[in-house]
Amino acid sequence: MNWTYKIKNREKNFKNFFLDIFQKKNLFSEIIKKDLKTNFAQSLVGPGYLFLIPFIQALIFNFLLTNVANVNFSGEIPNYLFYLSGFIFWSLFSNGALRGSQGIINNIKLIQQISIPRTIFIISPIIYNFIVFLVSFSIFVAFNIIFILKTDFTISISIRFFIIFPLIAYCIFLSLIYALAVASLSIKYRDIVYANSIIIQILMVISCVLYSSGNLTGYLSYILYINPLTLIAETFRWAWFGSDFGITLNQIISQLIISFALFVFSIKLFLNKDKMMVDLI
Amino acid sequence: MNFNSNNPLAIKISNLEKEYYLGKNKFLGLMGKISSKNNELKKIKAIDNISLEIKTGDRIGLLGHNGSGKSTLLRMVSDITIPTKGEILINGKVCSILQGRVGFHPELTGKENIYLSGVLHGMNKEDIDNNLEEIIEFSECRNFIDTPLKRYSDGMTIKLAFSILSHLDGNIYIFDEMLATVDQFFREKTIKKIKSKINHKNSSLIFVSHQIENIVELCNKVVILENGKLIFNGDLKEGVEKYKSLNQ
Repeated sequence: MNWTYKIKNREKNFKNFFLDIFQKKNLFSEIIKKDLKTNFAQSLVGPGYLFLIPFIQALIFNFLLTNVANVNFSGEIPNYLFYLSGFIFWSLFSNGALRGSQGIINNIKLIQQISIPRTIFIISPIIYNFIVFLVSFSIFVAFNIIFILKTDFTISISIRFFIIFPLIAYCIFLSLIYALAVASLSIKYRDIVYANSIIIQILMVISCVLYSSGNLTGYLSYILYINPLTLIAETFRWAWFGSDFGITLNQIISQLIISFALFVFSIKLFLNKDKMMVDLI
Repeated sequence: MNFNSNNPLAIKISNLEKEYYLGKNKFLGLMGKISSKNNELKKIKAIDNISLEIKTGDRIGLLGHNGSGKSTLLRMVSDITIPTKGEILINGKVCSILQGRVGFHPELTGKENIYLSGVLHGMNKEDIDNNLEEIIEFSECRNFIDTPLKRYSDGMTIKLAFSILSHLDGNIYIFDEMLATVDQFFREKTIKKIKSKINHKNSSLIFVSHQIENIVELCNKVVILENGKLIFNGDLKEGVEKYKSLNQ
């Protein structure tokens, strides 16, 4: 006899993980729509809050570092644009990572009522955040044009711009790793939910968002070997402003290996928890 | 007395077991581990070695007291939680309403919820577009369809949930306690709809209710669970008698 499917006590494997995503891809748009409509229900600016975040963050750090502390990490680039360029990509990572990692906890009710692959709840906030990023990025471009018109700051159009596309993909990939790992741990240990935003902050400080890789000297330069996030802001500034690129090939290879290993680890962790999710949550 | 002895199987459950831990979650942190005197938490078998075969065309009334394992069983058949031991084989597409909610979000309007819930249950957007009018009509919520669901009453929510579910294209339908909060008129309409759906497509049904009259009207077989064990599986009349005798 041909059975449609079989339910038993077993762990899903890597193949199931990806199959789940592709077979149910029509669910993403509905879940993202739901999130867009419900996350900001009864608020005036709505998702506007999200794409304003990097601009405000850049403003705060520009004030702290340029006006109060009088330091200059930016070289030729206007200070505000330098910090903004860091935060634009940082928000793509951090908001995706934060919201993705809360996806399971936020959708407990759905998970307990309907049989749907739970990866969807982690991936859809990340896609949602990518849409927010596109809006922020276009505002960033507009800011650049204003700076070019009003000051003597210039950007030379070059082939380097094309590296931005794989960079966006890599950044989303890293936020997926974080979200998968934290979401699966949070099913059992809620501590990580409370620690989540502070972890993101720590990561921000060590990820070249506020300075360039050249400022990491001595022992600190080992960060460039182990933290895959450093590549993002550094590469973006190189591509966009044509600033110095301070990460060596060895460091890039080491970062890529680490991020791939973390990816495999986080999927493994997620699949391990996926089985008992409804009972533990 | 078996009406459908020649029909193919829709669900085959063999040696199914589900264990839950009693007391607080065993993993609740360091403090919990230090303070608990015995680290071995007691386990309870919510489902204890159940084997059951459901054929196409069977309309099973699942009876049992609260905590007898009915919902746990349905959750496993709906692939929401997995069994500790044993297996369930399914032939067809399962459509289930558990505890009367089908993935609705309180902030979304009725119409938006129809789309959300429909897609979550495996409908295409086109299917929903085509059936939208019918779904709204059946739910009797036309005046409220553009109002957020949080303003709906329990009964209205169930009505909307059921009208979505009755338009799903499946062949194994599972209803858990869904007629408890709706009015008499809707109850009759619902029962009629379920009957036509099942006869028309020759599908099967698992129906949980504490109201015997619903079971009598809708089902042709009864399964009774008690303390996670299957204590009766058979004819409707006998099953109802047995269930009544349990209560005495």
